[in-house]
Amino acid sequence: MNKNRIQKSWLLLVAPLLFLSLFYFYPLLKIFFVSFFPDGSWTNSGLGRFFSTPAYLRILWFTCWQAALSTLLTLVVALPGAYIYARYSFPGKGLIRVMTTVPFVLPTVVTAAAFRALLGDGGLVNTVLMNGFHLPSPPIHIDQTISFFILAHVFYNYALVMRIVGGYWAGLAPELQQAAGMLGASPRQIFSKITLPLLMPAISSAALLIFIFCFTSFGVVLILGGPKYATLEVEIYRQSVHLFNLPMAATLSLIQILINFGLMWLHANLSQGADLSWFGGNGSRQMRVARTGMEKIVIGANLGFMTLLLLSPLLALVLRSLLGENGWTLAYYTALFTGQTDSLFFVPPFAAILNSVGFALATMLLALLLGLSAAAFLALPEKKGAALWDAIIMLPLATSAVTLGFGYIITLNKPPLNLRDSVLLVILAHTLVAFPFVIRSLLPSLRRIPAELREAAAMLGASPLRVRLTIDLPLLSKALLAAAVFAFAISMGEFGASTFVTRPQTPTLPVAIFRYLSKPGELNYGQAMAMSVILMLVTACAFILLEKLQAAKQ
Amino acid sequence: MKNLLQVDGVSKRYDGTTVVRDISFSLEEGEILCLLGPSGSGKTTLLRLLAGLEQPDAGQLLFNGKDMATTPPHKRQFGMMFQEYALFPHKNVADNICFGLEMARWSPDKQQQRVRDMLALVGLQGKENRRIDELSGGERQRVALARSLAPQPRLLLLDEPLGSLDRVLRDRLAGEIRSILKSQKVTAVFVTHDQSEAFAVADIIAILRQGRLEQFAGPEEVYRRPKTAAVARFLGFCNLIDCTLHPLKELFDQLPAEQHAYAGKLLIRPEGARLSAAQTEDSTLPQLTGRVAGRQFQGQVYSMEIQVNDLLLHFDLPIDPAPPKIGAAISLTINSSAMVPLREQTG
Repeated sequence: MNKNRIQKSWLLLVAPLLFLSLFYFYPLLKIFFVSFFPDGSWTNSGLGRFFSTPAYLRILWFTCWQAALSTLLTLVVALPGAYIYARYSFPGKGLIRVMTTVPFVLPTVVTAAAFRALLGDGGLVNTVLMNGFHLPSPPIHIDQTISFFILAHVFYNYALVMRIVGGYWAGLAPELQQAAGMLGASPRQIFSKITLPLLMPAISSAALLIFIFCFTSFGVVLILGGPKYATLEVEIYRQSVHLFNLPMAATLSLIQILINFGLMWLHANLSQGADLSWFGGNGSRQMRVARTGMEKIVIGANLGFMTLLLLSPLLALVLRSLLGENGWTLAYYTALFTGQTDSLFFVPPFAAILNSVGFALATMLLALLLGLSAAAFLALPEKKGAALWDAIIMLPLATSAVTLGFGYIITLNKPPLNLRDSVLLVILAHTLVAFPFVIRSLLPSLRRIPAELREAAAMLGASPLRVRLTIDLPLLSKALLAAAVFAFAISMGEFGASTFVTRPQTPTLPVAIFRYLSKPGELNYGQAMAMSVILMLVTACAFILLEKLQAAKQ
Repeated sequence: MKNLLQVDGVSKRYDGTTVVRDISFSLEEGEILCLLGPSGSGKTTLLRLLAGLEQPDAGQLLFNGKDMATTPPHKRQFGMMFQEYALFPHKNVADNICFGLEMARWSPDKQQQRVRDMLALVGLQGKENRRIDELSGGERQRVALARSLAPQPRLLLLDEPLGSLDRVLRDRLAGEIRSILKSQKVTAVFVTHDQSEAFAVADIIAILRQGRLEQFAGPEEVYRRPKTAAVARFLGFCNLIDCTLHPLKELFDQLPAEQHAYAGKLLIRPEGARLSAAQTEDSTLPQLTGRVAGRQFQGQVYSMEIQVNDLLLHFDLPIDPAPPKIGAAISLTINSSAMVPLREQTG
């Protein structure tokens, strides 16, 4: 490559860097300033207040231990599932695998709605029990408690363990265990001395990811935990939206950002060298068919548990959206399309659906353009410092959505960038969240295109632009489609940042669900369920499409 | 010498196809047996049956006269070297070698001593703290051998231990493996598809084909007198003559009387011929005349294709005296012991 070409390649980075500077680093910097220079002069009173106020320290402590507990519980229930997926083949395995992953990609508001539909005071289980045993009040009362959102965390992250640990487990050569056996190790010794140590990278990676997700958990804690409980994330939201204490919200955001970066850095180091992947390890190694009765019981019990944990909330959600006070009804769905005068903010839910689809399409386009440009730069061969640029571009991934949303409302509300009342704000926030995922979808495929193909095309007379269009683009089409679906689905389900940046007149679907869930009344509740079902279907379809695309690529 | 391992009518089926068919043999203490056969011949399955990693559908395995059916692999005190070595990636060289000693609860002192001895045996002194992924292919192979030998197994099983190495390294290590196994006086069963490897390592060779035991004999016996046409073909011999189609009397100018009546399949080994020197020829040896159809100098020998009637025969002739050119007539004297009658089938 000559010097001129090398210089030109930096042009690819201009748009993504400009975008990140304006809509990521600038808000982040602003958070720092609001925390330390609330009145224009330096003060560290924000940090001082945080560390001297027991209430804030309790929030930090609570955030940590609920995440730790959620992680532990998820590992305990999901590791047996990972084992049977790694070692056994049984009918319907592929289908069940996809089904169990749907919860992981579900928007948090839908998860919250589904758990309320199943186990809330007016949920399906309580209704059945009250009717069946003629009880005066709901026997299961876990709405607005810690157990409720921790259960949701387990539901959410089960697939993560199953896929990361299970995939890695399936890839372990059975010869390693057999070799240990031939050297005199009993099955128990083989597990403790060979299998478990070899699985540790996968288990710790999965555990750390779950911890990070639960640490920044927002939607389910806000909705299922109720006003009594707050993670850092929820507290940032309350301080800024309810109490207008912007300096404190900024201080909390800073603490959140620091801890998050630390955790992500730890995770990057831990998973280095280990071949961990979300899509891989579908079991190329030999799988056993269950023969003994014991094996069948273990597999059956696991599958039964999976169904109960992962499918029953989703089924409850669907049932609840179709069940009115007087039996089966489509009333909640039809109500979505009629703008009642007493409806919240005078916006019919149908408009929220249209808003979301519009935002999602715009996000998809913007994220694809920026992501393609950045990925093309990162995929260039012999690019010095590619790893550093890669890390910089992926930083938004390590920043929680609520922090981003908060950063936006304190930054983009006055000149030079006054976007406060613009719908652009939503699109920009969603693009920022989707952008790293787009790059991660495109980069492996771009790097897999052998340089010889481009050189061969050039030798056959194709100009550099023709090479891009006739070689790269067709070879990239599946990855592009996958990235587009990813961006669309992320935008449809985004909740944390959206709570800050959506205007009351133009809510997105998740924000509308949240509003309807927080209001009393059977019709509001039913409509929230109906909207959740719609959002669930959109996300699940997108995800199944993604799975198919990935399967076709391999 | 005592009879250590006895295999009695062992069979194994997978999904309806029989991969090991009614195999019986016995092995004496200190012997190295090589299971030789093309891929799919059932040799690895037979090895895994010996290891206890698979259970036979029929027949039994006796070790020291004791039926092994109910003994799980980890209680057999057998060693096994796997095809890709199966070295534990989370342990270093010394810890890999030590693993079997820990399982057998050797005292720490004896463990250390044994690991040192093993490293010396395979020539890896000073590399005990290397990680597995820092080793070359040849070094991994040595670690795997040392690990399987360390706990002094009663029987060592080796599954294509040289399979993933390049040709030069294979030839060198094959001889080395034999001297290491012999110095440790270990009884071993060795799986390979490479005959030169089998000849270099084995005391006895078992040739397997489609799950059947075709021949069980020493390397020289297998080469000199392949039992069946299948064995001969597998060893790379191509002068297989069907005597019902090509009566020997018509093929040869001169033939000892006792071979006139032979009517089965006959192998003529390629190195068993030399140019006839017309006057001084011994009239009791078989002789044939043909035309040179191919002639290739290969260094130690001339590889010759010779058309005799409608048959094309292959011979390796010494480079002195130089054989006639292509198209010329050629007269050959065949060594009687290079003519081996074959059976078409086993059993």
